This record gives sequence, structure tokens and C-alpha cells, in this order.
Amino acid sequence: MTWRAGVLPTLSIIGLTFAAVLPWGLSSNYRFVLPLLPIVAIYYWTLDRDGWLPEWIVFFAGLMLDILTQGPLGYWALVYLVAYVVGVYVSRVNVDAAVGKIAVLAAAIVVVTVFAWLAASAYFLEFLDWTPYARGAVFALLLTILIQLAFGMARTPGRVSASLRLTRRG
Amino acid sequence: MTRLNDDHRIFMRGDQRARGRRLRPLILLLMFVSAALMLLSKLDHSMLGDLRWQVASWMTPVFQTAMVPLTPIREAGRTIGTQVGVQDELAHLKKENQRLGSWEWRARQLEAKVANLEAIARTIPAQKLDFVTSRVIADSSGAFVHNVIIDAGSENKVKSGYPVVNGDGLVGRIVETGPHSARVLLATDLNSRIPVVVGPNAVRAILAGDNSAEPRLVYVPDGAKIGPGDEVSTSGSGGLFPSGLRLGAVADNARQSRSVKLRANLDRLDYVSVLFYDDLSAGLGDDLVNRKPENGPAAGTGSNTGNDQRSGP
Repeated sequence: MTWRAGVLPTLSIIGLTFAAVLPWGLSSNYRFVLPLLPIVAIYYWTLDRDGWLPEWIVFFAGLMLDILTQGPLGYWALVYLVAYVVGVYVSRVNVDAAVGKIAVLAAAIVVVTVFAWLAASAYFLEFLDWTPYARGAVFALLLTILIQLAFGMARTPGRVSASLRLTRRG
Repeated sequence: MTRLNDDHRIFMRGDQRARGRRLRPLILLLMFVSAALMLLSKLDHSMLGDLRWQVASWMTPVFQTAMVPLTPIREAGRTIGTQVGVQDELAHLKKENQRLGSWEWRARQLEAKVANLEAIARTIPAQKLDFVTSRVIADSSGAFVHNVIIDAGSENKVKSGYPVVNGDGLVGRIVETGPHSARVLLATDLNSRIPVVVGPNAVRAILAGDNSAEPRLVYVPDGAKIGPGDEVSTSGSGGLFPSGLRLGAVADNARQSRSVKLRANLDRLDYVSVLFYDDLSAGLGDDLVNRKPENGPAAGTGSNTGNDQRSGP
């Protein structure tokens, strides 16, 4: 594992978590997309088998978002852990076609968003308006393509050096 | 090279490649802890609230640093947004300017009349409010809360309960303060309750946030006439806010005639001003309680902290 694979997952998730609470000037109807961005990073790095991403970092990223947004403690931590579990299960599915990958990604985002909506509804003991969640999921899916491209570009040099490293075993 | 790469991966991580990541029991523990924390939050445990705000206060320098590159990005976005609708906006402003021109003349007349009447009646002048202007450094608006964090705190004399305004009117109030930051509960938050007066009949009501963009009017007296477009401003009841701070107008939507369209765009707050407004009646209750009958009617008049700020003409 290179330093990129070791540091990039944590840095990107923490960075996107901070970005989620900055005042971007987005309408409250569209703000739900921001906490979904760390989920995209969690999903990406969970699929990357070389990336170092223990579950406790995911937990602390969610907890940090809960603290900074002054929302119920544990909510985003739980949602991010669910995203991690979804990513782990998806990593076992072999999909090579680009369309298939996007379909799996969309399904994963939908699963996590539905869970986020259910958890929030359970917290308030009533069914919340699902439209901001749906809107956030759609925008998150679009932004995912950009984020994955950025991660891919940041990750590429690490892959080459890792492949050339010689290791003695036994 | 590609083949070497693939061979290396197969040799070193071939079993992992087939299996993918594995879930460890730790994740179950973390999920349990998350659910337990949610439950404690639901029960509104005070320790959690204090701890949360402490941590958020420590993050203030990070947010302030992050605002340096963010500000030009926001400005660029705003410029693009303005350019898109600039023609419509210009026409709207011309029309509004024409309308306000006649109102300005009328307002000056009324101002002079009020000043004369106040002088005749020896009215005590209203409390002059000092204020501090601060930048919004974090926005936590979401499904659960609608609040922002500003970079002015107790070291800038900001206290809990102070009203927060911007150029368009009331935005919310301070609910927590740290040395260099404070949390503002926005008027749209589920926990926000603001005593207001509505329309020309000055109907008293409470403006209750519900985490939507348009808070609702509740506790409206039976038979009160409230129509779309009626101005909504603070009533000053309860002493939480000074009276006369404008909030918005009753929404046009007939079905939701009790919702209010706020003048301030709470999604795009840049700078806000914290009014140093102390409830003048706060110390009044203590004075009345401590007043001894044998001291006569003059008892307690010299010890009121709130009324010291008022002076005669």
C-alpha cells in the first residue's frame, strides 16, 4: 500500500465532510446533496481494495458531521456506516461494463438515501418529506462522476508505483 | 508492464481480489453506538449538547480558513446568477423604485409628525441598539436543524438570546456562544418561535419554524383577518426581540395563507448583525418580588439593571 492509498481515502472523506457544512449559498432544498458527497467517497474507497479505509474513520467522519451540523448525534455516522456496508457488498459483485457500474452506483446511492430518509423519519416519529432526499440523490449521482474522475486522477500515480514494488514473501 | 502488474496483483492479492473487503464485527459495534447516540440525542441529553457545541467552537479557525477560498467561489456563483436574470431584475427594480419614491415622501411626512407628537407627549426615546456585524462561517441547514455559525462570540460581547438581522430583516437569534463563534437559530428552524404582529390590523401571532423555507403563523386569534401580502414583524412580546423588526409577508399561496415568505434569503447569508438587545423587563420581576411593603412605592427603583439604559428626554 502506498502513501496515497493510505492517506487519500481519509483525507478525501474528511475534506468532503467539512465541505458539507460550509455556506455554499445553496437553497435548503438542494443542501441535502452536500452530506451525500462523503458517501460517494466512502463508496469509491471501499471498492478500491488497495485504499486504507477502516470503518472507524467512516464512523468518525459521520460523527464529525453530526457535531458540526448540530443534528442528532449518530445520525450521519449510522448512514455513513450503512454506505460502507453497501460498498463492501458491491465490491464482491463483478461488473465490468461502464453502464453496469453506473447502475450499481445508482442503486447504492438510492439504498443509502432511502435509509437516511427512514432513519430521519424514525427520529421524528413521522414520515418526512422525501423530495429533498430524492433530489439530493440525483445530484449526488451526477456529482459522483466528477468526484470519481478526480479521485482516479489523484490515485493513478500510486497504482503504478505499487505495481512495481518487489516484495519477498515467506 | 501490464502483465507484470496483473501478475503481481494476482500473486499478492489474488484471494482478496476474489473476495473483496470483509466486514468486521467492529462495524456492528459502531452501528450500535451510533444508534445509541441518536437515542440520547432524541432524549435531549444536556451533556451531549454541551460537548457538541464545544467541539464545534474548536473548529472555528478551520472554518475561518476554509472561507478564504470559498468566498470568491460564492461571489462567482452569485455573479453568474445575477447576470442570468439581470434584465428581469432591472425592470422589477425600476418599478419598485417608482413606487418607493412616493412612499419616501409619505414616510418623511409621517416621521416629522411622529417626532412632533413624541415631543409633546414627552415620550421616552427607544433604546438605541448597539450591534456587531459578523460573517457566516458554517451552514447547518438540513432535515434536522436550520442554523448557521458566525465568527463572533462572547469576546465580541455576543450573548445567547440576542437577535440577528441582515439588510432584509430578522434572521434568527443566538442560541449558543463560544469565545470566537456563536450559533444562530434561524427563523425557519423547527424550534424557532417568534412573537409577531401581522398586517394593518396588528394581529398578534407566533411565527413557528417547521424546517421548511416558509415558517407558519400559529396561535392566530379566531376571526383575525390575515391576507396574502400582509407584512409580518416582531411584536416585542415576551421581551425576546425588540418590536418592529421586519420578517416578511404572508405568502401569496391561498392554500397556505398562514405561511410567511421571509424577506431575508436564509440560504445565502454572508454577513449578519447581532443586536445587543437585552430584555428590559428581565430584572423587573425580581424588583417586584424583592419590594417590601413598608418601603413604600419608591422601593426598588434604583436597582433595576435593565431600566438604567433608558433615560428621559
